[in-house]
Amino acid sequence: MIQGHPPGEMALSPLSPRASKSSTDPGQSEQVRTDEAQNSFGNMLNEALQNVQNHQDASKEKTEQLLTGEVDNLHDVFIASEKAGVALQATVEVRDKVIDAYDSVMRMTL
Amino acid sequence: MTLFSSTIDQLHNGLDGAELRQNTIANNIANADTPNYKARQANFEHTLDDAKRQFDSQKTDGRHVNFGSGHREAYTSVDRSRSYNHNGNSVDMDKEMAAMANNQIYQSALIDRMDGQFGSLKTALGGQ
Repeated sequence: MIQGHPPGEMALSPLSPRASKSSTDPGQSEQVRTDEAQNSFGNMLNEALQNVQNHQDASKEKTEQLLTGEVDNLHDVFIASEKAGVALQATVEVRDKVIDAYDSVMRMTL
Repeated sequence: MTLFSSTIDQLHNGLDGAELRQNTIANNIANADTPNYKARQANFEHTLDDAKRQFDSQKTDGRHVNFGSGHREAYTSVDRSRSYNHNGNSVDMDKEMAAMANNQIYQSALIDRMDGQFGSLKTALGGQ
């Protein structure tokens, strides 16, 4: 989500003011500020989680219809539930990777 | 926060109902040749819907009654006026077999969904 950098340049520069001053013109605000980057990442994460929640809700609704016999084709129920299951699994994988990354950062020797 | 969602409880009720229906059908088939036996039907779908649709009456006295009437529990009903055989028996074997097949599909679908619900919980807990 960090824009305004040539491909070769490290994306770390917005964090260190000296490096950014030397590489770009201070008058231009092309760089993404740290809080903006955090915001956009937060939004992205929020949207992804909302998407998973939508899948779960659809699956729940289909299951209730199956229970009361309102559903007329079984495959809808199972497709919805498989989608919800895969979405949940993807979320869990992302969570595990994030925690792994956090652990790596914490183990880093400075 | 509840660990187990309402869907799991509803599925539980559904499986109870499927078992009742299975027993009822088995009973009907076993009595297919019994004179004057009348086929029974299991009714339980209302127990799955009621939780959503029925609202409780505000009771300030023990003698007050709930809104609505009728069966709250799953029950079996019997139609005494019907007759399928000459000996007064009302078991339609084809119908019972079809109902049993239907019930088996219903039950295995519910078991599959129950499995999915518990699987989701276990996935979220991180127990591989």
